[in-house]
Amino acid sequence: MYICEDEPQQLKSLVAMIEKYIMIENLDMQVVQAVTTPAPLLQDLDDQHQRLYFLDIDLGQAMSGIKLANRIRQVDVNCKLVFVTTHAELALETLQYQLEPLAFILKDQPDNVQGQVIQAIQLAQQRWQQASPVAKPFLTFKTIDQLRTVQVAEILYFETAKVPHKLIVHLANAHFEIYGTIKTVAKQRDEFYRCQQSIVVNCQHVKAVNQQAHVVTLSNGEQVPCSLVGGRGLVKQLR
Amino acid sequence: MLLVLFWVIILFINSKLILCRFKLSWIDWVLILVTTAIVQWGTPIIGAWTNLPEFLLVSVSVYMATKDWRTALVVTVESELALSIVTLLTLLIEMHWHYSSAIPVTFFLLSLVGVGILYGLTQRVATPIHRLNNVSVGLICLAFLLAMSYLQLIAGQQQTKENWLGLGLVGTLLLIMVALQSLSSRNIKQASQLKQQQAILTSNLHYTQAMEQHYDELRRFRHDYQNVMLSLDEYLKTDDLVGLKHYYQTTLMPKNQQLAASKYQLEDIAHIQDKAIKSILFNKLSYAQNEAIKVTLEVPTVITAFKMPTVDLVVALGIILDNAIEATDQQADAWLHVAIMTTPNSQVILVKNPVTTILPPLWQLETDGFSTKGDHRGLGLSNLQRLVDESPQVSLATEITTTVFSQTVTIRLGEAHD
Repeated sequence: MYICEDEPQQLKSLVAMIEKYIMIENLDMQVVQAVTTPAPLLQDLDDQHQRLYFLDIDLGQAMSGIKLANRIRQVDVNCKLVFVTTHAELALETLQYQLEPLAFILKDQPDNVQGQVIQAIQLAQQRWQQASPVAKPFLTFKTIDQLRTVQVAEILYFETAKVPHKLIVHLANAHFEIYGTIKTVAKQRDEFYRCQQSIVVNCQHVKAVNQQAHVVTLSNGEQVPCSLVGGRGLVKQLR
Repeated sequence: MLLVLFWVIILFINSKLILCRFKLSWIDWVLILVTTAIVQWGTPIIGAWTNLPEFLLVSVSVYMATKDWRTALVVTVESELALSIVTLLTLLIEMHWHYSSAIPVTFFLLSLVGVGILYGLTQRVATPIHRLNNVSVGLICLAFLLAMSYLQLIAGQQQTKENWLGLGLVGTLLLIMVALQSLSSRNIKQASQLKQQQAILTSNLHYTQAMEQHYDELRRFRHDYQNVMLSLDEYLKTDDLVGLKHYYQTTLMPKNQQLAASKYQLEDIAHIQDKAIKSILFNKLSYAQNEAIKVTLEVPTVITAFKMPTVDLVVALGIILDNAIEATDQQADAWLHVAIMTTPNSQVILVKNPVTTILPPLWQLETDGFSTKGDHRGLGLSNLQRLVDESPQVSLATEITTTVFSQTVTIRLGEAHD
């Protein structure tokens, strides 16, 4: 756990709060650095550990907490970020999109800070548990400007876009576009099956295969077409 | 007799294959029998005119399957053409090798090949059949008729004067149709350009009006501010701390809150320099504000231009914002977040609005014509996807959680991707 806060007094109380919580709950965590300037944090970056950062947005110097967070993210993609700030307005969408912070802690409600800190720690632990590869397999896809990680179980099907080398990934209530070919996607997991030229379905979500009408019904009720051969092969694979 | 029956069956199957269906219904079989009878016994009496009822019957069968006369016409002509090519090839082969007993076999083999090709072609057609308009249907039909009559000519079956005349007639009609088509498309283009310009003009007008209003407010504020300073001065001069406190709490505090209110949340719009984009954002967002939706717009950096056709982006933004506003319209605590940002390799437009009722699954929302608000209003999301599909560097992501509906348009910057 790493903490950066320019006010020594506030830093001290934050560290005390966190250490107390770790001790009470007997968590497998520790405060590695608690500093008032960003420099020491930047020297000690790697992506080999599960790290949780508490950063003050207004650090009182050239490098703001947001810039610091950007630098940290560049090295450690999987770290969890929590911003400590005084203004509620800073919960900006642009920040959300680019840094994906775990939470914001509002300093101007002193009674509530402890609760917020504890919540943030719990949330971080939850995320790490979900992300552990043993628990649930996931895949990482390349979009135009991001890497997106999705659990295999969430994927309903892939579909080719009208533009070459682009695929649309369909989840139950979301879809986004990635780079790749339908061929390589079909090979990525055993449960992926190419039921037609342009469609790869996730067998976990296939509810019914209608070989007469050449459609596959998925768990969300959506129907996708399949070819003559594809339908037959899908039924075989499902058995 | 058998050959004719076979020929007619292939004709019908052909037409179904083009529609990507694989089965003939009982009505089709009845139609096949009728057609066979007409061709078999009608040909000696009325000659080539049997083509006409045959053509009609095939169209009826296709119409039964699709309920769309344009599709029926095009598909029928296509399958007729395919079949006449096959017939001609068979005749040619027969002429050169003199295996007259092998005609059915050759015909069968060739038609299999023909059907295969047709099926492959229709799987990859560029324009979906259901999006044809009258003129293009006419064009396609005439083109196919032309091809058919030309085939008849080179086959050397009936090189009569009438045949040449017919060919000429069809050709002239084709030319007229092409001319009509280009004319009407030009008209449509002009009309849409005019409409767009008008839209930009009116929105610019609104923008100026709003700016003037803001300016007015600023002037009033400056006036107020001077007054406030004067009164503060008065309180301080007389050392009236109690009065000052009272004045601060009753007069200044409320004013301060008023200033912070949402009216000024659109100031980031100045960071967008593309006029068309600015005006659509301003129009939609100020409309939303008037509907008592709490709007925030974040544009942290100046954006000079978007790397996608402006017209497409304007339409896309229009659809996204209209949807968001329409969705939040009836909510008590409505908000709308718009963020436009640049990352090193992309431009991102993010629109979020709250969801209060349980929505149907996403795929249903995106089906043509589906809408949560009755008929004829659901073209938005499917049109949006179509629009995005046309620009290779643009991608669209949509997500519904239990509380938030969000759409992200990402525009890639720089070199094309491998």
